[in-house]
Amino acid sequence: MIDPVDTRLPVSEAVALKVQYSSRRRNCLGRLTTTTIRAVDGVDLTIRPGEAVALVGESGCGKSTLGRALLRLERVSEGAVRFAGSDLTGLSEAILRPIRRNMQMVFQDPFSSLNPRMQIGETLAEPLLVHGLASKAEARARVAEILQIVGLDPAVAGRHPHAFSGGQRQRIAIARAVIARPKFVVADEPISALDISVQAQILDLFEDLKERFALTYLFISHDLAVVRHIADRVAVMYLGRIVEEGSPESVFDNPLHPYTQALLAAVPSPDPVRERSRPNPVLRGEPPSPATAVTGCRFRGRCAHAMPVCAMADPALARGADGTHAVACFLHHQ
Amino acid sequence: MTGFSNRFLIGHAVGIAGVAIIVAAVAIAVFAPLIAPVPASQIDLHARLVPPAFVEGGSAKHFFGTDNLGRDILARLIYGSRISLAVGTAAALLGAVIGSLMGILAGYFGGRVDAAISWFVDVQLAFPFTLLAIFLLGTLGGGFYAVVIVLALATWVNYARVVRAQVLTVKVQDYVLAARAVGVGTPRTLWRYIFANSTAPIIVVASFSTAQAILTQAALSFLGVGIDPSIPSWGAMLNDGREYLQKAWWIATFPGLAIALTVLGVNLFGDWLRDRLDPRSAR
Ligand SMILES: Nc1ncnc2c1ncn2[C@@H]1O[C@H](COP(=O)(O)OP(=O)(O)OP(=O)(O)O)[C@@H](O)[C@H]1O
Ligand SMILES: [Mg+2]
Repeated sequence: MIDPVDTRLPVSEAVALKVQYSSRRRNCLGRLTTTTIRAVDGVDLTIRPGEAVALVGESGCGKSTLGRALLRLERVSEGAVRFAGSDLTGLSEAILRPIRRNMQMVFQDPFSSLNPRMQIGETLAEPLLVHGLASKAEARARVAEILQIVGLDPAVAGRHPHAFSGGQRQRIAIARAVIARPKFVVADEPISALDISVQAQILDLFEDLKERFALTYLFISHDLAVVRHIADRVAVMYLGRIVEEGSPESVFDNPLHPYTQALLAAVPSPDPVRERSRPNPVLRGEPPSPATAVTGCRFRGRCAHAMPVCAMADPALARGADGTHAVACFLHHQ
Repeated sequence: MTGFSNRFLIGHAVGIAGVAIIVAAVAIAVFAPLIAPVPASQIDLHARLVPPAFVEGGSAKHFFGTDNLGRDILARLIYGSRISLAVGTAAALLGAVIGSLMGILAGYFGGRVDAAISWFVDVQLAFPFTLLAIFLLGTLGGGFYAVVIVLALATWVNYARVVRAQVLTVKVQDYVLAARAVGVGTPRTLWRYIFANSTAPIIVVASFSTAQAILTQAALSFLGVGIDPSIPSWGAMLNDGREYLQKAWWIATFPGLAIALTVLGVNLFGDWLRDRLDPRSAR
């Protein structure tokens, strides 16, 4: 299904992308020191029309930062971000604003992503009104329509967010993201804050909307079962860098990077035979802080297969013979 | 459990007492001509320094007694509530508008905007207010509006500081980032997202700033730089009565009590409001 030389314009693209946060702090001698946190540290990622790309990785590896940077909600430190072929890297907020209707975001916590002082109807109409896509009357009709699509009663438009449960709020947040018919949606762990019982429903809603509106997703998650279910492609992130990328089948059934192997080994398999024969390269220790610069491979400190070359050079993400499964590890570089 | 609900009920009773005092004060100001026994400036030189009715030598005609010109204290108290309440409310509102705006700009934009506004706040706090007020009223020439402006200058700092602190916590909420992701412009974000979620401390500061403004207005009249002292106001009455404290204590005492009671009412109401608006308290 995936064409190795897909010539369609990517929807979203990161090119050697780096996003750094610098924080100034006084050290113990009272001197001002600047620490640089390399949240995203050289990512190349291409997301094609209609794809659902899943981004997985440990907490703090930079998934959210990468997702926000693709929408230019973060300042780009180095490299480039493109959307539908146009370069967003250095654009000002004023120039980005009209572009924003085409790319949207769903946040992790539906209890903090909706303005408590605005009625649901106002929140949902906002994307249409600020971009001049509808009159107030038209917006009201579109709000009723989208509420129905996400599975809520259109009569709730006059209520405030506090009247809703987490699952209902996430439906509202999703409705806000898709009401202006964007091309691209970044969903940042959109079900991990919800009750187990509603997670599947929200996941189904994402799949339904993808069909209905021909959406392209970047789906951030740490639940590998969810990823297998929803993703066309998986990217594994470690300390600001993508270390492995490919179809869910190839990445999960044939993980190449020692980090991916360890990540998968940490998940119990539902199949008891597999579960017993599960290899056990459990992830040792903590990842290094993104504030310290690393030379060589950033995983080598926790890697069971570290070689001398790993300390000397930083492995690039290179595609294998099949042209889709890519890995950044010297074990697989010829 | 009982301890909590008792406290809750007592809290409500206190809030209602505060509201009752405020409503009574406002009603007195509004209906002054109907309530006052005689006009406030009616001079009766035959009835100078008459003590209150409930004191030996007092007269039923003048319940709270008369001043050195024979003017009825009760009538002057009733009419005087107009200036005191109007000045207190207007100054607190103007201070709220200026201070909230400055606090929002400082908190939201940070950097140089914050540094500049914070500098003004620090200077204002470091500078003795009375000196500033005397200087400004000397330049502006007194009068109702001048006093309101000067008092607003005294209170805006309170609002600016609490609003700035509140904005710092509001602006990092996901819903503000969500607004940017949707494409909402800066003015609308400031108004519907930042300001709308920063109002709780504004209301609380407004209650004690009103009290502060009433007291400061009295102090300014006392210093003789406020509103024309021939217009009855509680502050001006305090000022008039100070020379007679030995001979006729009632001239200064009753306006002093009126100020204290009003300030108490406003503060009770403000405390109650603060507890009600605290998201951690039960509703
Ligand atoms: N605004 C910020 N200022 C400074 N550092 C930040 C900021 N946002 C994120 N970071 C740091 O950047 C790194 C990456 O953070 P990010 O939120 O992108 O990780 P994540 O993979 O989404 O983690 P999680 O799974 O916990 O959501 C972390 O070390 C984090 O502390
Ligand atoms: Mg995150």
